[in-house]
Amino acid sequence: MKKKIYTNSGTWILINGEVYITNYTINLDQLFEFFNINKSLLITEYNQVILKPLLCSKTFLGSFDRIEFVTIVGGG
Amino acid sequence: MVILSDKWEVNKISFNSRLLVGTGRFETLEKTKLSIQASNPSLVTVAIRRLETQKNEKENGSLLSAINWKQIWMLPNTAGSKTADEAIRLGFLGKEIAKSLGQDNNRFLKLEVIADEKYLMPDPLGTIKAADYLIKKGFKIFPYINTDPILASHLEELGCATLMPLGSAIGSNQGLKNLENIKIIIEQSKIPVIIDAGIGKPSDASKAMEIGADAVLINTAIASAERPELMAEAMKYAVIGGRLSYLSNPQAISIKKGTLSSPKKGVLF
Repeated sequence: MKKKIYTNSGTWILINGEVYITNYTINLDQLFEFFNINKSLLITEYNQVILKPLLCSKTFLGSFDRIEFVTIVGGG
Repeated sequence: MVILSDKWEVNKISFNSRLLVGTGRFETLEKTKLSIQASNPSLVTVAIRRLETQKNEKENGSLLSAINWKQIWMLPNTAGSKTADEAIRLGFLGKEIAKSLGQDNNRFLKLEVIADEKYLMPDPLGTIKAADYLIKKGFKIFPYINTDPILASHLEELGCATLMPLGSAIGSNQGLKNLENIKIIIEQSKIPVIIDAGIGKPSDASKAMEIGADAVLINTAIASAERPELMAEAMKYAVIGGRLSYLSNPQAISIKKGTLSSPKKGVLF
């Protein structure tokens, strides 16, 4: 997947606020694999809807989809 | 030694410890873990952020795995939100995270709406708006507010689970700067009052408990200490000491009342 926008081809996806372009049809599970993420350590927001983990393999990314991988960090 | 059963409740959930601990600003996860063990808090606050996808799992070094969430109740906060809408979004994310850790019944949320980037003062209108919405959605709100007794009263009427008036600015370690207003909030509220932010030393924590606060939340004072686990333990004992002092003589708290500068006679209302 190319990270920056330089062409008009491919599917543009926003992941954690950054634009990615893919020429493949991929689902969220494949996205976790790409980033080497353990999905049990986070919550996934798909177009501002919190997604249940079971739906990740069935959710295929489309143009201009917005994905947020969210976790907890230190806070007061 | 006097043995005292001194639990406190939030939404019918009982806690032994009157110390809440934040997890921010620690140098390492190990220090966070040791400090939490040393302080034995009832709740631990965390913030909600994007996962850093450029780091691998080991580097991300997650709080999720560092803390035993079967024994400690998580209090997600909405730190980073500048508006009510942002706080609401973080609230729902926090709820899901707690659920993913097995805390299915955990609807607690520390509500921070802070648009002020210089002094980090909480926005009262944004807080009320977010609290109103989130309470209707079943959240148990711990609103972080300035020491405004009238705002505190409105939030209690809305249905907040606790009140969290600040001692002083976040991260400042300046102690309790507006004692009189804090005392008024404690006196008038029927829900737990947790003094949050600015507690810089164990004597501050003790003072907060002496004047009748139900609990305190401490982060920077512990995290920024050279030996945070020692400071955490000191805070634990300070909270216990202050609480015992209050229980020994609760009537000793005095508050100076205001006096009107205009006559009551002839008021139109």
